[in-house]
Amino acid sequence: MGFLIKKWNLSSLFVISLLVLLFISGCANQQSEEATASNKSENLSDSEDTISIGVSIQGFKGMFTNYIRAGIMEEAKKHGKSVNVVVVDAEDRADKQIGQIENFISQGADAIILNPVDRIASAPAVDAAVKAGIPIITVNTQTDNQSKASAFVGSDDFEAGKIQMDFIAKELGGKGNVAILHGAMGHSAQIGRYEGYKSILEENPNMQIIFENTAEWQTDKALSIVENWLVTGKNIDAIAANSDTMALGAKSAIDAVGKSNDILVLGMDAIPNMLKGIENGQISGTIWQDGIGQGKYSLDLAVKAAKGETIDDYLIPYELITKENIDKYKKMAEERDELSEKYN
Amino acid sequence: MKANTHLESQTKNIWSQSRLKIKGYAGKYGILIGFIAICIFLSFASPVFLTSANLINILKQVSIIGIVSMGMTMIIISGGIDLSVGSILALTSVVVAVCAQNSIPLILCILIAIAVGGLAGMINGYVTAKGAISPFIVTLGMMTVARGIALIISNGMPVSGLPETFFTLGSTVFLGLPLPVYIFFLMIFVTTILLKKTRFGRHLYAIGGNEQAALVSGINITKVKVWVYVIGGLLTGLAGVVLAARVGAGQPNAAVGYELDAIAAVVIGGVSFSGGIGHPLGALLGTLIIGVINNGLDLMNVPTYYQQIIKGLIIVAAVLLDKNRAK
Repeated sequence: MGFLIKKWNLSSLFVISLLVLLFISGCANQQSEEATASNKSENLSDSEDTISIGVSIQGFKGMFTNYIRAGIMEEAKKHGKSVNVVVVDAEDRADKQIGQIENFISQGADAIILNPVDRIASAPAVDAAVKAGIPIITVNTQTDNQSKASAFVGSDDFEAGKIQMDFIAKELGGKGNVAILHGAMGHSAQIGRYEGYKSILEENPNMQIIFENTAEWQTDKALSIVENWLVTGKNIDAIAANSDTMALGAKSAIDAVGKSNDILVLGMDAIPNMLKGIENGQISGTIWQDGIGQGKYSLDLAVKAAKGETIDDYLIPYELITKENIDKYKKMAEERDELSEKYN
Repeated sequence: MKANTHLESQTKNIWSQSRLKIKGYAGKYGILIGFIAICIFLSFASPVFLTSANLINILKQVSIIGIVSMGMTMIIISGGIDLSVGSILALTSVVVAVCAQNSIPLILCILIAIAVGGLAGMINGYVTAKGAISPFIVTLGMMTVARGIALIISNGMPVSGLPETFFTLGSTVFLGLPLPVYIFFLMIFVTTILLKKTRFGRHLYAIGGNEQAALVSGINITKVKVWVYVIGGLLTGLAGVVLAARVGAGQPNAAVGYELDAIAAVVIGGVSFSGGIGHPLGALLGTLIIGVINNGLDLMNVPTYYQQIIKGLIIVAAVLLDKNRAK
């Protein structure tokens, strides 16, 4: 009996802490609602004079999706009360995402923005929207059945890989040994960027891949891998990383053996630490992907589509950041991070 | 009558313990042979494998998982499991970085991060022991909760801009070895003393071997269980500090899947999944095996897709070898 009471105490403790947490997160939500000034509610309202747009984001573990959301919310603010946006988190699960899109459809959304979890597994979400006659815009990642969707807003990973490797090729004068740090294998960004690398390497027969491995976007894994590469004593002229987080790990390993001036390091995403490194001349470069812009344009297109206008794909080019243009991008990055914190 | 069964189960317990111990030792040497075999192969496959620079690299790289696996050894010996260590690593690395960023004295930052790890462990242990819920479920819950808290504290971004002194923690070299390696060795020593020379250690083996018998012999099971998760959490917190110092930032997305590496290291090292058997030195060997494989595959530049298959096969082969030896 005594044990039962103790057990009950524990579960009541759990329930109480859960309630407290719900309360806290409710407050946090309210704050962001005030900040956005858009009437964010749990359900899409289906009234005549407001346009309801449902947004499903793949997940919020990485920074980049935060930028997309911030862009969407910022753009929505311009429309005031005439546009009602609901953002849901698919938690990196395609099946959950499909369910979310189905909910949007049954709630009578006027347009849907889909940031696909997976190229193939999220494709049924596009089919469902098309079948219901609701415009659907994919953002950042395309689906397998992209041609059925109303439009795509994003950047081409193949281009990103090309820009990065092209810079390396020019710096090295078209010959040398390149090592590659891949993101999670099979991720659409990893595949696209790798194809981009290879297309430049084909044009430069005197450049070869000497090492390659996946550090799964993680700094500590990249650090260990590059430590292992360096100890072999083989000559590495440049390291191309699929993300800044991995490039920073590579940089630490290179600094530790005092080869900072001998090896070029390039990343992608333009995270604050990386920009600082470029400013100090410690890191060669990174690539700017305009997440805020992707969010803004996707909402813009969604509103237009809801009004019955015809829309087209919108591709936002990647941009190379080096020491030459760092000032411009540092400022843009600060604005970006401020905005993303506001809607976090 | 009651006293009789009590006595009987106690003798049974002692008997089974000593038998299991013998089996455990045999396993330990089996895995040692496996480890040496892998090293001999790699020293032929790559000329740099046996250089001191490379061996120091390996030790440096395994120190984080190694520290975590010491806590995991104790937890698995007690018949438990901890799936939350990867997330707690990320959380504590973020905590120490956020503290350091706010110019709190470094030593205090470290203590706070370790305490956060201990607190998470305490919750794991308390809910497991008091709520009589499987530790698999409890620590699975903690795994997502701790990751969530890490993301909230850090706003989803790596926490950087740490003071220079913080980096020296990860890069200071003493007698040829970096500081994290000494921390790892010290933790092996502490864990060995705890398990082999204290009453707490004996109780862990007893509970893992046969919980009912431990209960009737008067061991306060709840207390021991809570403490083993607290110690596991403290060690993970310490490893989180080392991780942050090594990469120079606190990262909410770091150490994904590290729980599996730690569990694999411990089990390869001859610690029985069903509890009651194992030695920290076995876990050290298991950790080294994983580290040496990762290192060797990079040195030989084995294609990425094949690396995963080879890693999996070697791990299973090492344990198989261990089993055959033990028979």
